Amino acid sequence: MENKKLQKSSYLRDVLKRFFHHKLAVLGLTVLALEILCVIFLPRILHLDPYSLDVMAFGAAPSAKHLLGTDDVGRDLFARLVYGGRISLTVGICSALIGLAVGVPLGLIAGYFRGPAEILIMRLADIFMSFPSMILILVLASVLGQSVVTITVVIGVLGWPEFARLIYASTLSVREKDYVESAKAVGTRNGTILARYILPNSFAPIIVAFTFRTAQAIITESSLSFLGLGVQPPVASWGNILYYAQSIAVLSFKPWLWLPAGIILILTVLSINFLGDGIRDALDTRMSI
Amino acid sequence: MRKHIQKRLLIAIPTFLGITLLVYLLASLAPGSPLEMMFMDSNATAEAMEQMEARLGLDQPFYIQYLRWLSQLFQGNLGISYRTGHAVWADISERIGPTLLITFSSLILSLLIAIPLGIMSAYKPYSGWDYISSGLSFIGAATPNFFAGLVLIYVLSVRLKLLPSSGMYDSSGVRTFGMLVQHMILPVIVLSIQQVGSFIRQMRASMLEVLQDDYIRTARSKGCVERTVLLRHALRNALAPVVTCVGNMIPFLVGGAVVTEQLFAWPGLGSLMVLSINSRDYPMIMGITVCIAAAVLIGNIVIDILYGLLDPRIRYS
Repeated sequence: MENKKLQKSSYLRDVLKRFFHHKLAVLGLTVLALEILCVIFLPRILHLDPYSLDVMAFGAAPSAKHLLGTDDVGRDLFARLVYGGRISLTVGICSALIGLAVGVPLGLIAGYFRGPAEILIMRLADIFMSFPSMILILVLASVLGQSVVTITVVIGVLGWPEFARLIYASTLSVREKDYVESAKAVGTRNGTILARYILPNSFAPIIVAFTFRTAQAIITESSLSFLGLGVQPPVASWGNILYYAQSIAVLSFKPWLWLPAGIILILTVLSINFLGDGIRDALDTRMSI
Repeated sequence: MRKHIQKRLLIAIPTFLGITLLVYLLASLAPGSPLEMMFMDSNATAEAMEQMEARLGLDQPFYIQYLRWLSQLFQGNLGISYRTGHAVWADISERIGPTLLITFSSLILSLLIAIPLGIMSAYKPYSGWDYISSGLSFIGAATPNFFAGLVLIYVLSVRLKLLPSSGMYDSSGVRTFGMLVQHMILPVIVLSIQQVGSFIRQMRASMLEVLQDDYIRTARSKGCVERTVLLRHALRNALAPVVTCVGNMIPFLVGGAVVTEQLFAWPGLGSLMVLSINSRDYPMIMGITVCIAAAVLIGNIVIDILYGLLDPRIRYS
């Protein structure tokens, strides 16, 4: 028991050591942590209000009162950026979680039980992967309505094939291992084998895929909102703040309305991608320190 | 090779049918029946509506309606647009060209950038070129294409007034090739930014792998110039995975085209899609989706054939 604990903690230490060795990943993690702290606590500290209309300032330039100016109906842009961050980050993370929750069981079933389930699930995954998901998301969002929840669910569910493929591949290799066979021989139930032996083996690629999927989902949500088909105002998201830049007047003369949201968007996605890279290297036991 | 293509075709057909079923299902979930859409502003009697319903087969069970729609589809009849009243196919066929024009151009542009950069960074890993190209691919992957587009429009169109920012031609009515090229530049760059990163990474990775093979050492030891080793011996084998990568990129390219066309008011399928979604023009939405599905599948088959041409192991198996 003692021994096992020791080993576990040293594995964790190795992983952490490798992770902190990856400077860009640490930078990414720091930026993300700061962003998350900001979107949670800034509204309370600074009493931000993304909805109230300042009738004295329609489309005002940045000033002491409105740090990043106001949009054309007089809403404070800094407040909208912070609240938009809440929505964009939440949509990104939740939809990646949904994709994982749908994809992982399907991949497990396909890889472990094989047979017709395998053909059906993996063929479906092929179909979904080869069809532009943006088109399906547009159709679904137009049919089901454009609330934050439906958008999260739609982007999330359409992310399933990536997770299913990953789990499927690792399940295929693990299910032939001796320890799985011995577990079967002593009569372990399938559910237990899947949860105890097969799933933990896919942990690393799943975590990495999860981070990249989050970045992807944030971009998808912002593109959708930019088209005016995603998160609907007055609710703010980074994408729908950028929607106003489609007007050439805003684009030309009020860069403070669209530039900050875009820069933060890129910064966030870059950070998540660096973080994902770092986690991948850290969890890869073949990598030397 | 023929067997290989036959197999691909056999997979493509159920895929296409699956997508048509999915699209039909989705459209039938949409609020507002086709009848309500057609009789939107006329005060039609219930009797007239019933007659229309029977005429259109809307009183039939779901699968009959689907099969009917499908057989119409194969006869080239995609229905009538709610928005314009034109045949859906007529509107779509007008817009396929512009979309293919910018997507293909961007594919070629990004390969032209990515292949040399990928070769160089694989040839000298951790060199200046390597850092430049990996930096490029990271930023390219992290920049939503609409934001890249906004920045380019702001800098090149608004500030420097170098390039036009919308449409295919200007409003003068004169249509010259030069004008078309000018209008194409920005959308094509925007679409390329999104792809170039993954092409560079793929090219670098597969080139690195190939360069370690024995036959490269043989080529070098018999005295080939480095240039010949890289371009004659290594490149061809290293290209095969890049071709696969191009195939995987097609769906993202189409998705990117929707946003890019909308931003640049480019008269293609993508901006028609946004227009149709905003006006809940379901026959048009379904028509576009089915056309895109067909295009993507054809694209995949072409990629498979190309792959077979590059890799004799597939051709002869």
